[in-house]
Amino acid sequence: MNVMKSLHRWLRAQRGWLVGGVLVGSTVLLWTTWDAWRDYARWRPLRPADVAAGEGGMLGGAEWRLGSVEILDPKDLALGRRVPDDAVVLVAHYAMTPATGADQKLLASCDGRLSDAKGRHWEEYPIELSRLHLGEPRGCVAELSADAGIRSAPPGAPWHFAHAYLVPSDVALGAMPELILPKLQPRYLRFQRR
Amino acid sequence: MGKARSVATSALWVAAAIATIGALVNLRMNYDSKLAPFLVSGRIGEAVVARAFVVTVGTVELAAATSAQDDPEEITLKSLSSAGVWVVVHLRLDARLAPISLLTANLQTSDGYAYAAAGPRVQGAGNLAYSRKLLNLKTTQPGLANDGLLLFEVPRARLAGLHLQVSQASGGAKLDSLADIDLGIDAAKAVDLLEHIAPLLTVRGDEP
Repeated sequence: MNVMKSLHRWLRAQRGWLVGGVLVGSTVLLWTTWDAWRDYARWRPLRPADVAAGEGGMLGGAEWRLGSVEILDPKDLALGRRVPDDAVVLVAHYAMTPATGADQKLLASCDGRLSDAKGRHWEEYPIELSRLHLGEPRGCVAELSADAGIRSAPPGAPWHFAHAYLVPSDVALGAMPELILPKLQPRYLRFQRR
Repeated sequence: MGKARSVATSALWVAAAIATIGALVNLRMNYDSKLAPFLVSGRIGEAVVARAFVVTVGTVELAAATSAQDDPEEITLKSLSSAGVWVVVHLRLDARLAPISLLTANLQTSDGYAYAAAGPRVQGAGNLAYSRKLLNLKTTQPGLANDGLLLFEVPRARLAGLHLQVSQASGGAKLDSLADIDLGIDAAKAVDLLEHIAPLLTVRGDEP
């Protein structure tokens, strides 16, 4: 009992030093690892900016809007490939309107992703969907085709494009489409669905 | 007498301090062990759970040559032979969090040699079947497990004691988990496998 009492007394007497030590320690730790943390965040989408259903989100000097989201049965799509039995194809339709003077190259670097509540995510257009034809461009800014060359939206008008995903059927209903511009990480857009 | 004693004591303290510093320096982790992968061991037929994926090795077979065919209508590629033997590992891969490929895929021999899975060379043979079936080239997405294979060229004399090591991280899986699976090949099994070697294994892109 005596030991506890004297320990308590010692802790009280040294309170200032102990608190100061913790403060100095954490400052030093943060200071010395700050660059590493910044580098880590620079290459990873860590900070989602949630976009409410039906609204547009700003990223890289353009407004991005999620239109409809379709869930399709792979059997109806003539994929020419066997896909896992419980998989479905989710198609997210987007409209992108660049502000005047927006960096087209930056916008064209956009990546699509689909994430679920467990933090898992899926890539747009996996190899199983290589023969999928949606009749809508895949590129975020323009489309390059053999017959028509480069096609993009006229200034001020929205550009419509779509991202397709292959996901387990139980994920399709709740998953959220996301758009990432790698250079602007860690921030990215996460769209709520209707 | 007293002076000599105090000098001896000081010398002893200095020696003790040097020995302690030396021991601490030797104990300090070197760069390789600091970045070493986290080994997750398993055996053939077991689901081995790594940080980013779950892998289950099904069967192992040998082939003298490999080829690929993407569609039944397409022509079959010219076969690739080997100075040793092709070890074909059939496995199932499931991603846990994000899309992955097995960027590190090696067969480790009992005497310390590592043989990397065939990738660019067979891919250079230009057939989609390889990128659809070889799990070091193909991307596997969460919840959509892939049944595929890995191809290795190994000398005939080094089959016994092979371990498969796979990871989603490249460059030896530094600071990430590395699944290490004993393929269960002892000397007798190696002889048996060599006796039943398939003359040609064709990787088919349209097979499940």
